[in-house]
Amino acid sequence: MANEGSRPEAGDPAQESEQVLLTGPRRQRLRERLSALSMWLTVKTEPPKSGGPADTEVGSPASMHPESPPASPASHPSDPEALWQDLWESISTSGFREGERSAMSSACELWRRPTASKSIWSRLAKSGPSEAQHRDWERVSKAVRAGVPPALRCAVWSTCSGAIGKKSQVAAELGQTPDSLYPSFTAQGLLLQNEASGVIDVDVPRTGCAEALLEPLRRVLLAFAVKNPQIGYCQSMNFIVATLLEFCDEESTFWILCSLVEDMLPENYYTRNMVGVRVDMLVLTSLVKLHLPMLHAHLVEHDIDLSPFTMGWFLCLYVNTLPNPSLHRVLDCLLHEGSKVLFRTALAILQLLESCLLGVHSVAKAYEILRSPTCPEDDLLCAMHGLWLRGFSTESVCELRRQHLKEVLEQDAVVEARRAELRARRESRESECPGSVAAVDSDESLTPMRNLESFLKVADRDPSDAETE
Amino acid sequence: MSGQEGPFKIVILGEGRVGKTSLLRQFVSRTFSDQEASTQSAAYLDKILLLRGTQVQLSLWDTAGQERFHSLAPIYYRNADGALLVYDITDLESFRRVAKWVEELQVMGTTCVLAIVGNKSDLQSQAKVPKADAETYARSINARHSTASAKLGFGVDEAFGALAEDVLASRARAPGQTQTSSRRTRGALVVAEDDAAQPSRQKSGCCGGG
Repeated sequence: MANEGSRPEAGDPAQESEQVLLTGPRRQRLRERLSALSMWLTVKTEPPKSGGPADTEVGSPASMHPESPPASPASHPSDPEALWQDLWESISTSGFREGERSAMSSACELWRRPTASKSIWSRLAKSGPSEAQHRDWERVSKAVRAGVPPALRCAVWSTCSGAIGKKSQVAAELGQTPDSLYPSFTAQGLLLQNEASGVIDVDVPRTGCAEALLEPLRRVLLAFAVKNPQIGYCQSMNFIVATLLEFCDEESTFWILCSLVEDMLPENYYTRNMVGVRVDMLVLTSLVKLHLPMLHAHLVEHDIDLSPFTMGWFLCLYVNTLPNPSLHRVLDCLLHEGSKVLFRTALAILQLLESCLLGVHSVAKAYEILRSPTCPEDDLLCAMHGLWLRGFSTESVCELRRQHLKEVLEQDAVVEARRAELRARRESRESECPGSVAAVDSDESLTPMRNLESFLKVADRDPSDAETE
Repeated sequence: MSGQEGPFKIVILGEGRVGKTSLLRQFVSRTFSDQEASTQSAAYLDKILLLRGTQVQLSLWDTAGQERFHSLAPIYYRNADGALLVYDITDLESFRRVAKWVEELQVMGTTCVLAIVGNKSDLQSQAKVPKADAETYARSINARHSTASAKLGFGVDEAFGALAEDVLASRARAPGQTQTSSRRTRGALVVAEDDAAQPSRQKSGCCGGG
């Protein structure tokens, strides 16, 4: 994890500890998963076509130059399957010490919502995890980067994202049993009658998922809207949930979604003003400038703005952007390492497309390339964790987010002031000449909004007036 | 002018499920699906249109309809040459949203040619938006109004074609740098406020007026 700086890793073993300390049915389930894994390993006797970029930090520095492709994944020393087997065996037999759990949980929390200040991290580092835990964390990261076996995705995603911990935490807060929560949120969700439920009902059938997933999809979204009334539902969550449901049961999907939106992504990604994702677009631009300076200069010269595309990449967590094996591997990393993976992925895609993009000089041509970026799965994962991103860290992302948040809020204030000004002007006009409905054909007096109020009144008319053609 | 024009950037705005994506698909590839996926933030399509012997290249941006995406919309309508505002003739609320979009464009100081389209004209018997009112409103903001059916393919080419013609006409009138004086020309129009200098009239460059 040389790329990430050492501190952020400090807290992570807690995520594993949550898993290890599971008792009863969960423990049983973990064992079942483990046997699924060994079956998967037995069935899959052929060695994988490529080893995956488990060791990119040392094994394959992706080149800074677009001409030379990233080093072949075949050169990676570690075999992902061996990594997984080793990892799960050790987790199921050893485990972490009880006393360290809560401190580690809060450390994880800070790490996932990357607003932790340096001082917090250095404090945690001092009282931090043992050497052994740190090694375990590194093994998890390597294994996750190498790709999680499909049969294990539900368990690994739930653990790594903190979804399991979240469920018990919410249960403790509400004084209910963990397993009663989801059914209760769903029951309330099905009664919901608001903007969220309206848009969910419209979106679910047109998400494009299998018939059997439609109802689970709807229930998960409604339950989330109940749990997070200030977010409700935001278009693009439907695609994320549909993808999670491919691997996870309904309830796990719900808790993973909660972890993702409440803890892992910055605040206000999906809320009304969507400030979080707008900030991230500016952060990405800064990172492109830093890590892909040639491409940045080219885009600026030709006035090519990436954000119309990258906005969708980030909001949908690359669902509908990347083809399937790549998408799932990006999600593996994202659910383990947090939102910085969104930037790693974007930078990797752009690096892989760099030579193509440098060859085009018009917005339209650039958009043709960006519309459906094609990156081979292993090239993408290699590029994401290549040495060329050495300076990239959670801290640098946090710092950039802080800077750009200020910028976005200032812009919003300007727009809000303008909105208020226009509204006031309109009102004063209306009071000057009450009842004057726009002189429709008079060019000089044309003011679009002057008509708005009367328009709305007209539009409220009894629908039976609707003219037939 | 002859030969080629554009690319012109056209953005499609309107409430969710009014048929923005379907209109675009019908226009670009003559296809229609009852099961059109919801649009995640935005999608990009392009199309070359033959207008009176001139090839006009259009860069079309389809946007997500949910209201909170208003805050992202400037990314898509920045430097747009035209906006197609879509509502569903069977849904009064979707018609109200058109006015909100117009207000939004105005607040952001966007100047572009506007056209309003009432989609789903195949459901005329369920129409809830009085056509005369829609036309009156469209005139008041100097926009064209028409109806279309993405499903049947009626009025789709006409709507995009007319918008493209208006964009061309506004370009011909104000090649390159748009001047304040050109704002009031009919049929090509303006969402800008009528007083107060408009510092954001920076449409030059990107398309180069032919």
